[in-house]
Amino acid sequence: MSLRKISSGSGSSQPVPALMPARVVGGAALAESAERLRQELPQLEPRIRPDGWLEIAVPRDSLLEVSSILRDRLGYDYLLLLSAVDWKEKGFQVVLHLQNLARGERLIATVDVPREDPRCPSVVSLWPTANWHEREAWDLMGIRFDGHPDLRRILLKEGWQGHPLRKDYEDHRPPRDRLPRPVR
Amino acid sequence: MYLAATSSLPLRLYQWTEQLFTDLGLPLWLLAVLVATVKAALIIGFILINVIFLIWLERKLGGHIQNRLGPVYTGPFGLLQTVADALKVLVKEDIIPAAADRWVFMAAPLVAFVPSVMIWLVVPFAPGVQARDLNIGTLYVAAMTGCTVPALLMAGWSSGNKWSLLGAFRAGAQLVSYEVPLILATLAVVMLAGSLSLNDIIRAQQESTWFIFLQPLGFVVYLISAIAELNRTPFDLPEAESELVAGFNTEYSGFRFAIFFLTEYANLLGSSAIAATLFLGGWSGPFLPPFVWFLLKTYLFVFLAMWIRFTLPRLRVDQLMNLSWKFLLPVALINVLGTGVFVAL
Amino acid sequence: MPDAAATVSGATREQDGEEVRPTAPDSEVGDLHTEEMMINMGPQHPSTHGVLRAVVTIDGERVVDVDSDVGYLHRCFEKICEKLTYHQIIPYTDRTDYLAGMTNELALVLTVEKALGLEVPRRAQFIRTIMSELQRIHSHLLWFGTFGLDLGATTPFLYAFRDRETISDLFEEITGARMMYNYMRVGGVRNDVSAAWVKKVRTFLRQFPAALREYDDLLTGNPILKARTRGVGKINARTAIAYGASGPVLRASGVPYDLRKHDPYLVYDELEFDVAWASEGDVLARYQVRLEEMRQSLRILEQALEGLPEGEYLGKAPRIIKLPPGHYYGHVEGPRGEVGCYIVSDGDRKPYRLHWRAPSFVHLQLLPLMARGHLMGDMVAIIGSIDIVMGEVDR
Repeated sequence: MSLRKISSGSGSSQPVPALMPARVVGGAALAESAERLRQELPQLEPRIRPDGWLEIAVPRDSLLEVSSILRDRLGYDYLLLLSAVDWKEKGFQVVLHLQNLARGERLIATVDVPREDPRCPSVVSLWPTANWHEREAWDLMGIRFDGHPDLRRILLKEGWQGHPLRKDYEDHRPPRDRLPRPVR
Repeated sequence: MYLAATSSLPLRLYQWTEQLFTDLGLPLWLLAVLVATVKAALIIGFILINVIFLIWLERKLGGHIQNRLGPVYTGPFGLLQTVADALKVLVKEDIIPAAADRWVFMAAPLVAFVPSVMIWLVVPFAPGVQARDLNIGTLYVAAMTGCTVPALLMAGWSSGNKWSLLGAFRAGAQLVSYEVPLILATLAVVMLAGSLSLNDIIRAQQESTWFIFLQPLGFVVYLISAIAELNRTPFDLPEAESELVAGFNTEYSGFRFAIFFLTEYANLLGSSAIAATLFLGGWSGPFLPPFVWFLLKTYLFVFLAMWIRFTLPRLRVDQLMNLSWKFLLPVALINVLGTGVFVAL
Repeated sequence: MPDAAATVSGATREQDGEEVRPTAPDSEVGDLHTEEMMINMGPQHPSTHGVLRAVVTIDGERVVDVDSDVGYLHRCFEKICEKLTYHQIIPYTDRTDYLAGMTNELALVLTVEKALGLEVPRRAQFIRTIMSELQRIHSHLLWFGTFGLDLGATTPFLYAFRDRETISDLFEEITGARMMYNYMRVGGVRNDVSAAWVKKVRTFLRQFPAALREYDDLLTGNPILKARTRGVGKINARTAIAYGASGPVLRASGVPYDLRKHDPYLVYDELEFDVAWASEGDVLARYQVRLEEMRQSLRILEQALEGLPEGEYLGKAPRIIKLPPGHYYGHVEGPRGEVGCYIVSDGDRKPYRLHWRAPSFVHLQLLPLMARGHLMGDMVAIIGSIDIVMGEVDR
């Protein structure tokens, strides 16, 4: 791979990158990384997706434990996206997209969260980037992340009623008067 | 009286008026007041006309430096643009924020404007054309430029706005810091001329050569410090619009803002005139009339300041202070020392 | 914002030698009592690039803490998408990061195409590549201009806009729009490019290097710029990765990660270009990485124009798009970083849930880390250097 190092001339410049990311893996290497995952986390069954991602379903109670193994032992150091889906009566699902930059492995971890108790352990302590993603999920989907250092609404204003991305969300604001269309 | 003139017309006019006063039995101090008023009106008129032109020039120059045309629609070459803008600003509402310290807020623009006019008391426009030839001219100029600091502090403090406050503190620190090298650079010129009077300084330059050739270092120090004193880019920190919204004049609008704006350009013109007098021989020069030479040299500095403004990014607060205290001040001191040795020899 | 002062936006900071900053001096200087001041930077402020509100705690001019308050531009993008078919979403993606519409649309259509297993004609792929790279230069030019403005240099802005104008015109000629293109389609692109247009792009490619040299003369070589940006807003590689940084921010911190290389899409695999990276992680490094990226984009454009094949520009795609049930994630390298599109489908014509990964949203979290201990003037430079677009942060 061709790289172009730009030096801004200060003394601390290193000739090699701090971390050399690898191309994303597929095929046999994917099966290998699934195997590694199985060894570290025997209780989970990794699924190899056709688009080159691994997928695991993590029980809610063991999320932190599994996450720290994912990050520290398996090298998934890069959290791309933390998202939440409302599956109506089946409850919520928190979805983490993770990447191991050095190996090019990619993983989707899903966590089922029951509707009547929308709580999920926070992973901010492992991936600081989850901070705002979790705040957004709380704001729009109403999932409480236990252990989050600063769980406030982020996009909507303080005191907003409800969580708009839920499928059963109803806008409680009074309807606004429509301006009459000008008649020609 | 100090009103001397190359042509005898003003002198004759003065003598005629004096005669009139004695004939009518009016006291002569009234005449002195009348003369002073006329002088002040002339100077303020000169400043206003020049500022109108300066603002146009700045926009036109800036435009051409930046691949634009600048004002083109109002009047020939857009020359009336400033007039139109001034009229617009004057009819705008004069907003005084509820949190402001009312009287200080209202007074600040005037406190800033007055010293910028006062400088012109000692500026020699042409041989003999000078409001008053003070024998401590340069000292007087330094004193007057120093008067800007309290005005800006007043403006920033009284606005009741945090951005204004930050801008005012920056202005205070900056103006005080750059006053020192500015005065030291002037000091070297005074040492060469052996006089504080601006007329004597011009005469000394006519006898030897322009002081820019004898004082290149002093000139550079003067130029940098003067631009910093004027709050112009790269030293426009007190009103850095990308950092402090508009600094000390954030809350000003309409007429009061216009006065601040006017002050800024009056100061630019004043500093340029002083620089032309100190380093480029003032009004002296061949062929052209002295007043034209004076204007040409003044506008050379004005052009330089505008050119710099549209080329450089802004310094940071700490870098600004470092430049003054760690670079300009030592250089100015060395310059004074060297000049002292030169004069002694 | 009830307790903005008390909370430190929960940033857990990696403490290692490189990142220790000068802390605020003791607030008691002798008998003199001083206090920290809280100041609202934005939402109406010239340098917050839109409607970012940063609650800044300052000690004199030194930034003690920053708490970003976002959401002023929230338009329920994701909720709206749940009510739209996939084709109807395309114009909405333009409006998330309104300075990089092409790459946003691309993120969406690539995800949908991947889910459908759709083949895209080669000509369409090349056109998409050309548009993406033009978009990258387009966006970087705006960043360059506004970064100059942030530092108080007004002239680079107009120089950058002069050249940006050329690209805007190029976009307008093909898509009919200068900002909101609505150009990508599932299966290809909306309009074909003409030979005359290709010629115009070539002219631009010939002229632009001279403009880049002009920028270098004007701003890059300026000692004031260097003094103001070197060592400011430093982020090391570990922190950048932990905070999910991508694009120029990550690359300037010593991680040459570029989706065009590491997860190639379109025809990037066949084109030759370098990944620009730097190890310093400061504002200057991010500045230089972006400038170099523009040069690399020129290289890509040249090759893409060379290899542009004849053929279909819009392939066969079903009129009514229904993604098979499941969830899909697609991403592209936008000008600001990784633009991700996460679609959950229940087999309907509309997405069941759509989540947009906006690089600016992720990068804005780094602001307190970068700004702490620096001055107000640096704060502006740092916000400029992470190149945020609030439309994308708030969605």
